[in-house]
Amino acid sequence: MDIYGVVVMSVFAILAAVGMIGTYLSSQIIRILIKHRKDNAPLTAFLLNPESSKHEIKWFLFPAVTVLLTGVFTLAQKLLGPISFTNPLIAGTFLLAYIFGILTAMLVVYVVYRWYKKMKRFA
Amino acid sequence: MSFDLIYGITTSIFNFITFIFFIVFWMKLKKMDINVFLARIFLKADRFIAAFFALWIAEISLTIGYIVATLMAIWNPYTLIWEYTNISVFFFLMVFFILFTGLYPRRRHKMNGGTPVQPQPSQSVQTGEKQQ
Repeated sequence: MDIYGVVVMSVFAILAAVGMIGTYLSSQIIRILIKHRKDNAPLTAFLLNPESSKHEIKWFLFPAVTVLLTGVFTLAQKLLGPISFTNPLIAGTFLLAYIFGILTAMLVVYVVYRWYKKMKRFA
Repeated sequence: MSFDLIYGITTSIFNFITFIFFIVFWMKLKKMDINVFLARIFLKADRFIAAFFALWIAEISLTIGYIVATLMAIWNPYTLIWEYTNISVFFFLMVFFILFTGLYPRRRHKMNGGTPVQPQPSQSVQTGEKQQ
């Protein structure tokens, strides 16, 4: 296995680990919401703290921006042609698409963790 | 048309829709009262749960897809299975943002952020004016 294979495999492994954490947190949130289906206690808590709820919702802005940048750089790299690391433009867009993709996954999981922390006491 | 190009176009469309939905939602949130949005997610809790269910599917597909990609990269680092994973992940992330913002499907009542309702002239007053 060459150096390219090692880098690709480690990136895939990081994303799989991030996905595992995100799966756990989002399944916990769904479990809490369905458990309190009758009284909607977690949502009532959000309703009673409008300022902190607004702060939590604003956090979703960061993944929304990075997901746009991922799409832009992915499309740019695919339109420029096949990957060649000698051409700085193609290599740069390729690497930036990777970086923003990983950043998006991590930010979404972090925001979901923040929501989970607010709902944890209803579990 | 190669699969690479189709993948690039599809993901960029999904990501662009995600961004547009959140930006429109954020600009509305700055104008309107936050309590209106919170009351809406309280009243339509099903949509809120469905949004997090979409996020859960996105995370599940991210996990499974990249575990398979990691195992396949041992023999062939040029595998393209992660592109199929990314299409699925970005599609469900888009569904999450659309359901979470609540901009689509369209609401029946317009949110006017707590502006006072104009008093409607009652029926008896109008008939009274006609008699005079």
